[in-house]
Amino acid sequence: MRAIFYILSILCFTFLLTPITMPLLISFSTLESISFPPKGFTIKWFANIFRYETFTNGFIVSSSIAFISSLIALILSLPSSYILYRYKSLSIRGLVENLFTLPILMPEIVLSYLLLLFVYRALGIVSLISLIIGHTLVVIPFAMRIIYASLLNLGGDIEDAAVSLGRNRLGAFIDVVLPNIKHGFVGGFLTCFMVSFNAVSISLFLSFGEAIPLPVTMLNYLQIRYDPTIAALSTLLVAFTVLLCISVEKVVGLVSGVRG
Amino acid sequence: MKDVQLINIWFYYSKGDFILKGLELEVERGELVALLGASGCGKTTALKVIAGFITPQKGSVIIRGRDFTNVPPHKRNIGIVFQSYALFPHMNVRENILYGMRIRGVDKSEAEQRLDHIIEMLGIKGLEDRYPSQLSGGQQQRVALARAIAIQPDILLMDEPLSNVDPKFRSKIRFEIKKIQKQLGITTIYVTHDQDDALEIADRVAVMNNGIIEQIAEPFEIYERPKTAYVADFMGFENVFPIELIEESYVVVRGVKLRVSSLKNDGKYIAIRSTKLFISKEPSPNLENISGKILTKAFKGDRVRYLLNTSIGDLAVLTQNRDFNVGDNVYIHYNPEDMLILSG
Ligand SMILES: Nc1ncnc2c1ncn2[C@@H]1O[C@H](COP(=O)(O)OP(=O)(O)OP(=O)(O)O)[C@@H](O)[C@H]1O
Ligand SMILES: [Mg+2]
Repeated sequence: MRAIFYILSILCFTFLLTPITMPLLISFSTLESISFPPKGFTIKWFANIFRYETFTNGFIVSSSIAFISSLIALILSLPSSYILYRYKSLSIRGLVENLFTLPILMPEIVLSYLLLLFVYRALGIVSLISLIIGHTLVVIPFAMRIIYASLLNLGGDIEDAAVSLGRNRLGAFIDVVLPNIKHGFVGGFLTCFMVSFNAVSISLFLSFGEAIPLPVTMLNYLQIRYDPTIAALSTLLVAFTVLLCISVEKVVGLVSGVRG
Repeated sequence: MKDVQLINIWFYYSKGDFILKGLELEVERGELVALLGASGCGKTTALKVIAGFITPQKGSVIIRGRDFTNVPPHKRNIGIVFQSYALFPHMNVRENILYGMRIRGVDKSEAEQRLDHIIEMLGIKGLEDRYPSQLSGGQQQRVALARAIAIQPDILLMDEPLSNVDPKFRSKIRFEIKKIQKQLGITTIYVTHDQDDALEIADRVAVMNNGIIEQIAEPFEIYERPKTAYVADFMGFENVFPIELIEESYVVVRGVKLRVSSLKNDGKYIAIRSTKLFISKEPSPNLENISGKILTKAFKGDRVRYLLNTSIGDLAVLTQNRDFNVGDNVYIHYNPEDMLILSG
């Protein structure tokens, strides 16, 4: 029984991890094109990444967009999820809930196309802002779900308790609700950041001119050259994501934490 | 002196669907009133009205003679022990208890003094630096009580404080709550849906049904003389039947004349406890008899519970007599004094 469990776990992890280790192996290969098995050892592909300004720019653009749209999404999610959590008998509750989760149901490619028509063509809004609008739309359901879940998890009595002890509503919210949903915030921010960073089709459809997100620059590069630079960049991105997770874990203790 | 007066309180969450329907309640200073009722009857809603979390559409909330109906909750001086305890997870026990005093600007040394006193009184010494997640249910319950009384509230509200406590300890904690309540002389409304809980702890028991209080009386009184079918049922009267007709010293139930000792003209139901009915093979010459047939027989420790089919309906009888069996044709008799007449 135990043995079966171990074998299954190993198989499962292999399945999950192989796609991640592939670029890692290839990125150190001396072969000129992406092929397997890798040969030799070099770090020139990594050096190559930093030689192309479009990559560094792309990284900055993607990070900025992810940062800003995650922040906007969280700020928009807080009051609306608070209302849903506080007023359970609200008649428009279902409507609000659906409104915020609707984008998750729509295929990203369709959403991208609609945004292209609406934001760019109809409103004539230029690249960076249209990208931010698009990314915010894509990440909002995640922000909403996570904040709403942490509020529900907290329960409504704790705010009432602070009020009964003499604090006004806003004060109670600041004193006892906010500190207890900060995990949700950090977790939500992280999730949104990653979702945004990976939202390729939105980026593809809505980027024009100077501000080109990293995934788009990677695709562009691949169309011209087929060397392991992209594998090296992928390796760095995986490392970046892992680092992000670990630091968040260290700061707030997303999983453990005595304070519940 | 009356500390709490609820006058004709009407409240709904969604229009037309009233949860409280003219609720009336008066609580004397220092008294502990248990608000007893089935799930969903509006007990928590009533507490929320007193606490000020919701404002009734009609009626007044008077606290110590002052109209508080429209005063926001943080300006009322009311301590609450929530069913979920609602301790602040990011604060330790000390910070939880000090929170209310800090908000009210209680002097630091005074607050520390009160804290020590309360911790002593509730037996939670040594837990001061723990966080709520590091406490047992019973300990959390005490901390919640400590936090509520630390602000020296005019009124203490407790919403099913024992529902998250291990049944083994309920009786003990109930007794402790009562002791502290009397020691502080704090006017308390204690919500529960457990009959034993209410009868054991309360000075008076208010039985709530469908948004109103059907009866409020001292535990013994309400146990012995419920006024309505609902209260009787809650107080363990298993046999309740609607009255068809009232004659001089009889009531008629399903065409059967039953003798009763005292008559009220507005009687709507009769009720008799299963322990006040007797079974025999022959009709009794001195007592009132009803004939019936035994449907089921179940052992309840030192007693037997029979369910009988009779001309007035199914009757439950709890007796020490084990001699009868399913299918026996028997007579049930009772003392007319034990037959209660209910007015609603
Ligand atoms: N926030 C709310 N919005 C709408 N309806 C509510 C709300 N809170 C309670 N209700 C409804 O009001 C009625 C009374 O609820 P309340 O919580 O007062 O019952 P209760 O007597 O405390 O029950 P319990 O013993 O289960 O705690 C129930 O039918 C409930 O569904
Ligand atoms: Mg309740």
